[in-house]
Amino acid sequence: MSRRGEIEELAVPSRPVLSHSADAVRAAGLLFVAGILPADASGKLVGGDDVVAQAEHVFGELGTILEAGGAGFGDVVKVSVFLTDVRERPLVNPVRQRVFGAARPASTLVEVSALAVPGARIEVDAVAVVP
Amino acid sequence: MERREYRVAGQAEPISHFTDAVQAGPLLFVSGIVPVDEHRELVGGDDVVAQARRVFENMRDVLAAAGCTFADVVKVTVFLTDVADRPLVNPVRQEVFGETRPASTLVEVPALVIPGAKIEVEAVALIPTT
Repeated sequence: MSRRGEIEELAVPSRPVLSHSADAVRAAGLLFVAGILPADASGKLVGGDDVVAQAEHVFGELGTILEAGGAGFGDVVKVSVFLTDVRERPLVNPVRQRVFGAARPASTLVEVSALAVPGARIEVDAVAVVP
Repeated sequence: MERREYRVAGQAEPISHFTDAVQAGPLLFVSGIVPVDEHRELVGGDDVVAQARRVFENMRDVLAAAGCTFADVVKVTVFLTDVADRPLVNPVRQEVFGETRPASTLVEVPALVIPGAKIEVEAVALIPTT
């Protein structure tokens, strides 16, 4: 018997459709959030070449997607952060501290050579528990 | 919560200290899949579309070992050595996933473990109830 009925795909209207992907998928009490790029609904880069502005947008969108899935930053158990320049980590950390507050998710951060939106310097995906 | 490791017939011997997939309760965590045959020989030459097809064929077999299909996949992470190949890989994804849209992350990486490999994909799936 398929579990498909127990899998809920979320599509958030403000999010760009960059590939064959949902914005998040809920299954087994968890919310799997797709990689979030600093892009508007049309897929256009947001934040110019400023990684902090890009990060603000990405984590703002993460908040929106979590809310759409019935969760919040305090429910996030894991994030993966992809930067095109690992030296920008200290610039991104304050944004993370502000949005997560007292919550500390498990985290992986690596540098990658490019992201799907030209000019993007950060991509973040997440797993959260759905309360 | 049940933990069960899957080593799948027809899949190459894992190149490091891991197995093809691990069940954790209702979820199946699928290791990064590369375009290789059971002898770990590259499949698809330098054609990223042919490589992608092999990756998803391998993924289908790993999923099937745990009773899953592509419709049960909730998350994929796609690693490409050239992000410009994304438009070539998307049709393959659409073909295999059909109406299913897993959450997805895609990044470009400088290299993969198998020389010549242009794509690696990992996944998380929800295991069907019996």
